[in-house]
Amino acid sequence: MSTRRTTLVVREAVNKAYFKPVLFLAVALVLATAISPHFLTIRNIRAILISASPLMIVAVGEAIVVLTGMIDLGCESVLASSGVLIATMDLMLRFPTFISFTLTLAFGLLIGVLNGLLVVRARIPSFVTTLGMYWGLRGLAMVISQGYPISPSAVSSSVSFSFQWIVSNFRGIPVMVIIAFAVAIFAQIFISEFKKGREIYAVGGNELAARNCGVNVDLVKIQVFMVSGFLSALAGIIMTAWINQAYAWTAQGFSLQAVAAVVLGGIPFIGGFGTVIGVVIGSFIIAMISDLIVLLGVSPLYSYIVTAVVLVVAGLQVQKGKFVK
Amino acid sequence: MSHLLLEARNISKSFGAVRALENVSLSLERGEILGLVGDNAAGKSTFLKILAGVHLPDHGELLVEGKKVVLRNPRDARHMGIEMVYQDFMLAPNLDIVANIFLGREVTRWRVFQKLEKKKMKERAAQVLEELGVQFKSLNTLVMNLSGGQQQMVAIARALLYDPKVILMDEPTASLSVRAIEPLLQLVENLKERGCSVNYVSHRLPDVLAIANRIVVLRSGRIVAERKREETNLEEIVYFMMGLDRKEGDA
Repeated sequence: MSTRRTTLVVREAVNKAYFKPVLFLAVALVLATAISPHFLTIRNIRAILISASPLMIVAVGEAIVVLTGMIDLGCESVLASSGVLIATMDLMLRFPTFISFTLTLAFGLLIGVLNGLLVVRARIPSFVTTLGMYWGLRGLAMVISQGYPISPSAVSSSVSFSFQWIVSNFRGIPVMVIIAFAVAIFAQIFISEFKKGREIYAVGGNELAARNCGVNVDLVKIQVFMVSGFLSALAGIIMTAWINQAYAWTAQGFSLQAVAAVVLGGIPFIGGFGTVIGVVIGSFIIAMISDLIVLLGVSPLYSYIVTAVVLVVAGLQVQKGKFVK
Repeated sequence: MSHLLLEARNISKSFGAVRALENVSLSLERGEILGLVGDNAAGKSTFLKILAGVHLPDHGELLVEGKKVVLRNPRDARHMGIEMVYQDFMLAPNLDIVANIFLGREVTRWRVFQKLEKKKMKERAAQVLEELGVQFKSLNTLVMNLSGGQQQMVAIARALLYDPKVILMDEPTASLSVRAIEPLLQLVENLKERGCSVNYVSHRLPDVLAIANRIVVLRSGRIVAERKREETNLEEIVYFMMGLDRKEGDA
């Protein structure tokens, strides 16, 4: 009797969408601890969380887009151009922090609207639309910054970004980590408990059915890109404060890392399945791989190859449906 | 109030060079089951989709309870009490039974943010399914894990959720096993008892003859015959579907 009950509880847990990501994480933690005794220390975990934060924020936005069955390749360029924008407004134009913050986040939202309109009105696939943003917004960042890094230390050693607090600590916990987790928790509740989240899943599951049931599919598509644009801009602000400069080439390869975190997190490319919690774990695992490589004293040049292997293995787990494109 | 629940006047619809419907006028009375039959490409599905708000007609008008309406999308149609059960059910396989039944019409609170009232929805879904006489192990089963017959019950439950006036059924038996067909026909009869009008489209003529009060035959986008069930038989309906000239019927 009790064994049956245990089996039932176990089976229920296995069926939960975040089971596989949690399993991945457990396996990764055990392996990492076995490989390096320095891994499971508060100092090291803290370092991983800090380095994972910007990716986590971008990946949450990416997850919302992929849940509908689309993709956003432009995140990293929104991130870089947002960084250049806020640095310019902060250092050169001397805007109040509140204004430059708001304008930068509004820029992210605007890019999202543009992406969405190109997909739903011009009917260009999201892959192509956001690939355009990927190049276009890097270009914008280059033009604004003229290819030079924008850094407060270039002005004077006593000057710093007015939004530097975003990378400070609050009661010993890095603010950026708090922001990243707040974003993730908020997003998770939003997609599982609110009507809009339900609609996002429905679009990923069966777009035509959602449309015929009265879901405003076009609006949903525009909105998911707005979320992604907003979060990428937020990550851009944090990254700028973190590395204490804005540079047009910041966060190269970040879009694909975010996609990798989404896949590791258990969201298939057709959308409709998976959770934000999974994606948070995915981001953490990616940050962990780089960390482990450093801890082991292996050349960082290997980190991409290790990430590739982990990703492909994870990819085996997330295929849903018969057809793979 | 008009005794006609739904009236279509001179509906025409083309897709590019293809004329799907030409001057189709049809009405549906309260509590009536209207069988709409025809060969492939006769325009049956197109007609239903116009009534469901999926397509806008090129010409002609629709009246609901005597009032002229324009159905720009399925939402408009639902507001008028017109529900459609699609041939392929139009369910989201990744969502559970309750979520599919309430898809697009979730019960929520907190006006702007619209938090889902999951418990209320589950209770109401259970109620509707009970009325239909179907049982599921768990209402949180994903639709992808249900059989064809079960999926259809979910689709029908969705249509019945807010006491519709008209239910449009497009080939409801197409993805059902033979065993599941008989209960479905019984169900359609029950809908009539509830005061629903049903517009039933099917290839399976014996089914249509068994349940419909009235049968309308479409051929190449036009109505070629309209018969009360008592006044007709299978042969006559087939004859109308194919047309006098067999070649024309094939075209």
